[in-house]
Amino acid sequence: MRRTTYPSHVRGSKATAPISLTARVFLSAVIMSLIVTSATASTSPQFGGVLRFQISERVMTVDPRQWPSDSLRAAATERLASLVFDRLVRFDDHGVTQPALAVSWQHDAQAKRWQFHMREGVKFADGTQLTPEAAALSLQQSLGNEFDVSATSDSVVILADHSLPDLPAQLATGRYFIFHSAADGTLSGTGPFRVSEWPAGDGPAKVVLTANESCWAGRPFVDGIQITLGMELQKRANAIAFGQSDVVELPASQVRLVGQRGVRTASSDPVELFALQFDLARPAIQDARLREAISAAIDRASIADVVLQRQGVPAGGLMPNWLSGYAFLFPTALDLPRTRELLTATGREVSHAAPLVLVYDSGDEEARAIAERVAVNLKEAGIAVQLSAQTTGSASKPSAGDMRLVHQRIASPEIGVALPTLLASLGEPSAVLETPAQAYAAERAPIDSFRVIPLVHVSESYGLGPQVRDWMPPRWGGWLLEDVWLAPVPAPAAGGTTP
Amino acid sequence: MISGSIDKGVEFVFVPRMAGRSTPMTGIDRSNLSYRTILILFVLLAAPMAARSDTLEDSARELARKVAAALPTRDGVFIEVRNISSLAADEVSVVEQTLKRELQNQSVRAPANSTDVVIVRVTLSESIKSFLWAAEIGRGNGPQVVLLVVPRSSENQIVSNAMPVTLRSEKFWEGSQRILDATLANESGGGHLLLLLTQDGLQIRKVGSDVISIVQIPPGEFRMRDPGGAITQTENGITVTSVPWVCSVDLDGRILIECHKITESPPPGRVYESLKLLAMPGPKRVERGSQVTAVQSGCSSGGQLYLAAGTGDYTEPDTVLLFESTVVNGVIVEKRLSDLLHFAGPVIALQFAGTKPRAIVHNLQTGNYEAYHISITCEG
Repeated sequence: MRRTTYPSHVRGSKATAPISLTARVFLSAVIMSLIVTSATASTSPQFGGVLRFQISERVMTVDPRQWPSDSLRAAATERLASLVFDRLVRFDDHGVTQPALAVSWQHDAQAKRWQFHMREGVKFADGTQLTPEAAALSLQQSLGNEFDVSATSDSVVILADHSLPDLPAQLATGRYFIFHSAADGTLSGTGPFRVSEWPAGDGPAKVVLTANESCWAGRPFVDGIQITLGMELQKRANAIAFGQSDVVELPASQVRLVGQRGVRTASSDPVELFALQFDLARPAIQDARLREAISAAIDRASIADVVLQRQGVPAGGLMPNWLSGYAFLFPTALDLPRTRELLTATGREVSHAAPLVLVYDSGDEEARAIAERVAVNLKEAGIAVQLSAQTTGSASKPSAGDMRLVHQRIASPEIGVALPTLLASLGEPSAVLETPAQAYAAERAPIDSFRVIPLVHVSESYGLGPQVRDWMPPRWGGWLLEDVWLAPVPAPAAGGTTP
Repeated sequence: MISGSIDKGVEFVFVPRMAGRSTPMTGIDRSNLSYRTILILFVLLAAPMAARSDTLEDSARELARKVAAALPTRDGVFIEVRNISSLAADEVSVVEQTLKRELQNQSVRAPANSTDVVIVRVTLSESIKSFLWAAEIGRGNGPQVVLLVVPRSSENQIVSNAMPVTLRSEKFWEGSQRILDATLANESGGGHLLLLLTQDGLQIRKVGSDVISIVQIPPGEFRMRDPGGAITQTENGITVTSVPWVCSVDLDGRILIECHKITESPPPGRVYESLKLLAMPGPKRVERGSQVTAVQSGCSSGGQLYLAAGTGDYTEPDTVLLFESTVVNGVIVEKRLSDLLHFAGPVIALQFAGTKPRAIVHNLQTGNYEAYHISITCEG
């Protein structure tokens, strides 16, 4: 036992009697108990092993300076980047911002000037010390020139010309990672892993990450991760079923099927939105009554239950109820009488009207299945629809059809960030949202005018191999692979026979 | 000393500065850090031991007043209440009764006949952060909506009863912060203190007050993702074990008296492999997981009693049971004495340090960490 001495003046004014012998004996028992419970653990995590992971997206880079605009690709990039980089702040399980590389923060009365006090003693994976200057440089590149980011001796200061009440929540998601760029352009982070291999090219690729032994938040439990990017669905399903992968990403429609093959699955709360968005420049759908008729004709429950195999929930609002708390206020029920009433009111000659063109992403299997179901629903209601599969790079406004099936990822567990982000990606106006009433009003605007028709919210799902332990990401999805550990493979029975 | 207060438009978040430090400290660092006692004021997000029913009743009254103010008329108002949140049936009943009573106090009257009825549909919902109650006034395409955010807190008790010994748990703290241990202590002035041990230090909260002191514990050379620690009440006061330190704390002065290093820190990584396995007594007859603690109770028939948690990982609900280990003819025999005491998440720590046994639980339903006292009652 090594004793550390301290200056007497900081020992306090009261008697500073050393710990008595009895207490030491008792404490020894406590300490041994702590060690024992760690050492003999069957529930406590164990170190070692390489986690094999397969996902569908072909993420090209985790460089925060080259962030994709598409929300689904951005989400996949963010999941990977969070293994390598940290942010100033993070979300806890309740969606509340908590310290990460910043240990405290404060802002002025207008919330235009924010000061984040940096954690000391943190190093990037390349051995460089994390400094306020390095953090400020990272954030300036991510936030852009709209913000003035500077460093003091122990903190980062962010200035804007407008109020930023949700800045910590904004910095806890997306591209706002802290990184260090070496002279050769290599990026390093302070996260639990470092990149060992990242193949170039467009096809499937195996990325190799290695545990960051000096991570300020503790070394991850696994020694490394092999993530295969761009893997086809069928190969992923087979890989998890036959033990060739420890974790695979699954589309909602496959979760039940994979589960029936004896694979353990895990799903988040609904975090993705499928919705119809109209191109109001197209004459065919400028009548709001026709758009309302379309909304009332769609059987959202069957999309959730049948197409998505109960891995989705009907959506009347843009935000899922777990995030907003008020989504139930938006109707989702099928209402064919209302559709007929509205079609009559529009004077639309069903038999003679040209079919409406519904565009969906050709690379999105779920989008195709949902688009087909929507077309069937509308046809049953007397509205002809022609499907058009197109490659979409980003969730922009529809340009080649009367309506587009958009597939968006909820960007944050903070509605003050998630809703404006989604509205912006849909080309809808937004505002600062500080109360549920403001958020509700902002969400109602595009829905009441039927510019956007929410259809279904979908969970993020994974298949888990038998060795995977402590898979416990936040309820809004994502990964916490630094907390995952691999249970040892049981040794085969000696002798090879069973009595 | 740093102090701050919640001010209109100004947010101040404090977290101990040296948390997670991974590089060796200098002597100057130690003197500056180790005995720095910080007093802060803040509003508790999840107030410990909050009276949940009071919160619900207060919120129901507030919603009633908002609804009354928004009603087009105070005559012929019909109230419907439905619950789609995690509130229990008895809590919903309390809310509904309070809501209707307060509406009556606001001179809102129920319909005398079926004509000219104003329907108010109240839905008790929740988001990730709070309960959200909505009142829809009127029907049709455009009902007026009144929204009320209700803070979330909870209080419950889990009881197990069957075998020779009954285990009961009583929650005495809940919050979003990960704690290693928690206990209640008496202040020399007569007050009660809630002590919460985190990886960064010991929080001392005066019960019934928002005043919190934080006594920082020196960080280890590296930070562990599955840390352990314990609070021990000794004749000299409070002793805190937070590997690799054991520190004595002066509760009245809210200061750290001294710290000793209990062991050389294992190197980063492979922490568990670097420790020699220390076998629990006897063959492992009673199924148990990593959390086991010896306890003292009059229920013993001569052997040593142990509380033990289950064998799942941190993604599963957990249980605690009591078993007795005795030596019979030179062989250690284990006997289970209690039924399973169930928890809504993994038991991440079981402690018995001279007072009542305590369980620290990560509730998977709420995401909160919870501290329970476990009482052991002999049957018959």
